[in-house]
Amino acid sequence: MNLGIFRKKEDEKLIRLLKNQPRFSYAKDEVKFKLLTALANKPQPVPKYTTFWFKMPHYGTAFAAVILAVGLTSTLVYADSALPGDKLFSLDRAQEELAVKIVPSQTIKAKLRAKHLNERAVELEQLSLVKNHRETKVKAVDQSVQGLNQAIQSVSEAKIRMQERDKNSNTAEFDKVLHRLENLAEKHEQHAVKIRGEVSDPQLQQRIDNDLRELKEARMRARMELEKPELETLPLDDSGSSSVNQDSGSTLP
Amino acid sequence: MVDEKEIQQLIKQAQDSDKEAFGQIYDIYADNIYNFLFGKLHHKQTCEDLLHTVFLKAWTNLNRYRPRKSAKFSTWLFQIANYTLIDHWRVHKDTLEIDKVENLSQFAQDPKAYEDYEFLWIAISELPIEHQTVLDLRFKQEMSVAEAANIMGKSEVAIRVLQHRAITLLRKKLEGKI
Repeated sequence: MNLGIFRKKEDEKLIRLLKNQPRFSYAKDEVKFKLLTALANKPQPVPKYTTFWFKMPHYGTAFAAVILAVGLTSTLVYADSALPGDKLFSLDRAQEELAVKIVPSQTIKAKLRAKHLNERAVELEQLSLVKNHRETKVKAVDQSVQGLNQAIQSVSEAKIRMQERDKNSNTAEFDKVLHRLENLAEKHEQHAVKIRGEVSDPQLQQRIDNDLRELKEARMRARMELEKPELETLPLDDSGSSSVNQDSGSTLP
Repeated sequence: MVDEKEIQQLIKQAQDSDKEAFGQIYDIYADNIYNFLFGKLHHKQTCEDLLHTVFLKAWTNLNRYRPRKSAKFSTWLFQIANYTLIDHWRVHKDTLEIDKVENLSQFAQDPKAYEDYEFLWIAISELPIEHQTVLDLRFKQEMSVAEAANIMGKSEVAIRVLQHRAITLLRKKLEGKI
């Protein structure tokens, strides 16, 4: 029997039917929009997880801190690729906040915040590639401003606390993060300006203008933190003891 | 239809993390992949989600794709789609109800043509998933036996046998014999 040839006429009619089946509609652009946004968080290729995972001791915070410290992606994959404005987007942000909270080291917390903000910047860039969805884009700008303000404040506070605990402490890592946050604020500003150009609704324009103002202020705050002098110490008195100047650098602008 | 050379050019760009190029690849193949999924699952939201999953997997694994004379990029993409479909099928084991198929006319690009095909889709939906897949790949997607074999992970002989059985079974169902 030659399986390649269909001798029965009925089979030939059936094959013609199968070939001429009509096609179905779907939300092609929406899926594309979601996909392009998700691509922002997907490196190529997927990092390979080796037995390193299984050799680490499984106790709570230390293990989680190691995972976060080497920058591995979240286990909640679907939330991680959520769009700004989606229900899962809030879950993704909550997840990022949790990650920052459970990490014990202030330096790593600061770096994580900068990493999350970098993801916001990439999301904004991806959103700017896609047409329409203006409300979502404006929401994304709002979110990025909130995140930046929060990050700059928490990094500044962490730097000051470290300096107050130990005047000789090295805050270079915090300065690196602040510098990065300053650059990220500039990137976010550029994307926000681009999105503002697409928006014709006056209310949405007003929102973006407010966000742009806050982004400029965030950049200035980061710059001021970087340029702030270190906590001053009074010279040693005759008894050999020193004292810290309580008024210097202990309050945020 | 886009030239295979242009597609390979887009793939190279996408492998260099050019997301716009990947977006163009999506534009070229999304319709076929979606209809491949929809032909089996008949649920718009699920198929849109799976379509997203398929292309996300393609992006993540794009650096592992190597062009071969015997297999086009579409073959590789359909392989991902097929495995994604099988994984989904295993987990959900959806039993398609007849009224679900009847209500799908609202999603048809041509509702009139849909009415003419409703009987066929009802019969196809009662076939085993592998039979449905081979019929879709060979006739609706117009793939060669070699391409279908690559996608389904079977030999060319196995594909020919499966195809023959699928046609026979479908014909018997339409004739009301089973």
